[in-house]
Amino acid sequence: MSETFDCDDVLHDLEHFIDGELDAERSAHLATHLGECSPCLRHADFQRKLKEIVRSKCQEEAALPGALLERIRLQIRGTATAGE
Amino acid sequence: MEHETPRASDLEARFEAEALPLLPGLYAAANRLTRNPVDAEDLVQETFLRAYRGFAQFQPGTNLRAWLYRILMNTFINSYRKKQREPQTVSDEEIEDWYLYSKVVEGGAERSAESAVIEALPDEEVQAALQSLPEQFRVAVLLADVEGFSYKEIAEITGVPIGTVMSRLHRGRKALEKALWEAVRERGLVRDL
Repeated sequence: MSETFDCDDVLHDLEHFIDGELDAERSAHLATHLGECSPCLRHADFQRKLKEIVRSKCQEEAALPGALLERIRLQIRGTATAGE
Repeated sequence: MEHETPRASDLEARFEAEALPLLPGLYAAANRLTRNPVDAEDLVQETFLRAYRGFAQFQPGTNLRAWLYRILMNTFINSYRKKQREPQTVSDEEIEDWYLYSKVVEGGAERSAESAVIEALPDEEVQAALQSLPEQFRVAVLLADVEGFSYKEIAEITGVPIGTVMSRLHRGRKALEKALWEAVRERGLVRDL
């Protein structure tokens, strides 16, 4: 296969690379290119941070209503008894 | 049946030990899906009941969290989505790839501050941007970027081929980038061009 991996290849693969879904060979090519091409690295850093920002800003954990765990437990125990 | 049916009390003990500890995460996910604490509580309760009824079929050693999410998603689709009549597409023809990055760079952000303009948005505005997406795109982005599932897991959870997952993610992210850029502009975080 071709030795060259250019900026267009990076843009094509970047989304899957950041998602950790790119195969090992293409990931290695992309990582090498990022080490040598500062505009691509800058873009990749932005997309990586964007994904992280979306995660951290949307991930707030709503407090679990106190009675919910107990209600589910009781419901399961009721189901188990009925099933036997 | 070739194998012995596990006794109900064993199943119950295993379910309590393995599945119930995942309740806080599932409840949080249900909140993000339904956008309403009361619906979230009903949804997660129904999910755990269905999960318990089907727990004998769960293969130990496989991904219990993804399995529970699949039941959560099916329950959500069957019980809650019927209420909604949202368009199931995004008109993204005019959104170019890497929309937000181009805008931020054109907007003259300093190199070190490119993502800082997004970081500066309050959490609620980023959540509102995500919630503005049509449901199937919102769910794809939610499962990948917030819940951290792989493409394969998302395909299993939502019951669509992996190619569809990738396409929904790509289009959903573009629409999200556009909504985020609108929020950035409305707050005057960059100078207008």
